[in-house]
Amino acid sequence: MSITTENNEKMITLMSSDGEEFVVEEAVAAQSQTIKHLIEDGCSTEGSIPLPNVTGRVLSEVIQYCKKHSSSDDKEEKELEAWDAEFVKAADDHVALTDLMMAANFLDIKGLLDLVAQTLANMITGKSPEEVRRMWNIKNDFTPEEAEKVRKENQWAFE
Amino acid sequence: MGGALSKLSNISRSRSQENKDNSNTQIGLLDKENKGNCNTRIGSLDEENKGSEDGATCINDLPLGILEKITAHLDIGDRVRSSGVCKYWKSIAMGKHIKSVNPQLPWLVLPSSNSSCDQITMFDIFQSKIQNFDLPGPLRGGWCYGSSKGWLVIAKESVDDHNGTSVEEELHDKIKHQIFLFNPISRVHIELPPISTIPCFNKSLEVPPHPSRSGQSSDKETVPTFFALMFCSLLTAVF
Repeated sequence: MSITTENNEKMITLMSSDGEEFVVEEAVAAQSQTIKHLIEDGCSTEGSIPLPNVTGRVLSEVIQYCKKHSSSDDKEEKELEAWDAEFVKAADDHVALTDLMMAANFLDIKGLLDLVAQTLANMITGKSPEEVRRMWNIKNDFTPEEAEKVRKENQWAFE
Repeated sequence: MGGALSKLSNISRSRSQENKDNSNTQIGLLDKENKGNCNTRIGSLDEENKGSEDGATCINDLPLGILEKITAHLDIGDRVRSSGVCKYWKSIAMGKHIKSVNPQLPWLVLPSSNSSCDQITMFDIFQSKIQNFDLPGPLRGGWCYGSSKGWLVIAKESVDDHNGTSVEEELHDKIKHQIFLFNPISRVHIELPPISTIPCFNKSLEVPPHPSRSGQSSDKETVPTFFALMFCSLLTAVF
């Protein structure tokens, strides 16, 4: 269902996988290429847009990001960068960054995707394979011989 | 309790392995529906993992395409190290099609203390770190002449070399050198055709320098210029 506000801003209702509804301005929702295409295809006129892959918790973070980025212009780039850094730090407390990454990928929001990818990459930077495994609870499925081979072939990176 | 928890996370991990396989096979024909299935299942797995171990979500539940996007934000050292995390990461980390998002400062090739060596030493300006790269067997004893786009030019004297004394003999020696391209990261090395197969190089040896014949001067100068360039680029960027 599309509603219009007093300032004539078209509103869109997004529905998360767990049935939570979010009413946002079309300009905010259209930060997501996926939603933008859905609107263009006329999906928004038949009620709310269902997003079966995104939970309410994650969607609320995503909308927060989209709101900020639809209201800022290029002049505020520095301020926006600082906001992004704070946002991703705060988001990490509420939702898993991997969930946020999945949502950004599904919703096709390039800025958010890059931001979260960079944040996850920063978490890997400078860590040994053991430290990365411990951080994300990843199982080491190499045999000792295979692990030794990887290490030996790239000795320089492990020193 | 701890045992039960690790068991639970093992189960969820083996299930996530299945997911991963599915999403791998779907990657070529990803449409919104497939993505949806993948996402929903991953979402529920995350919940399980979160409950089991201090809020850590297993990054390996992410489909290949997304892990590639994260990899693109890593520098070369971290990409190499992350290939040692597990088999799934190894299959992604060194993918040539993943272009780095962040430009990386070049490494400098340091001159080696010996005239020929078994190792190439490079300086990583960003981390102020010296990195040593072992030369593969056939290149051992060679030396670095220059670099271009991540490849090093390694020259090596061939076995039947003799010690020339005159300038002309020295040039002939160089003809017997083997020249390789060597990528220190992938460790791929390619032997180039002998330098004697370069027409201008041979021609310059055949035509003796003659000051009065100005028409030949460009040929004459080809060889010295070629080698001078190689020496100059000793300190050229690798990446």
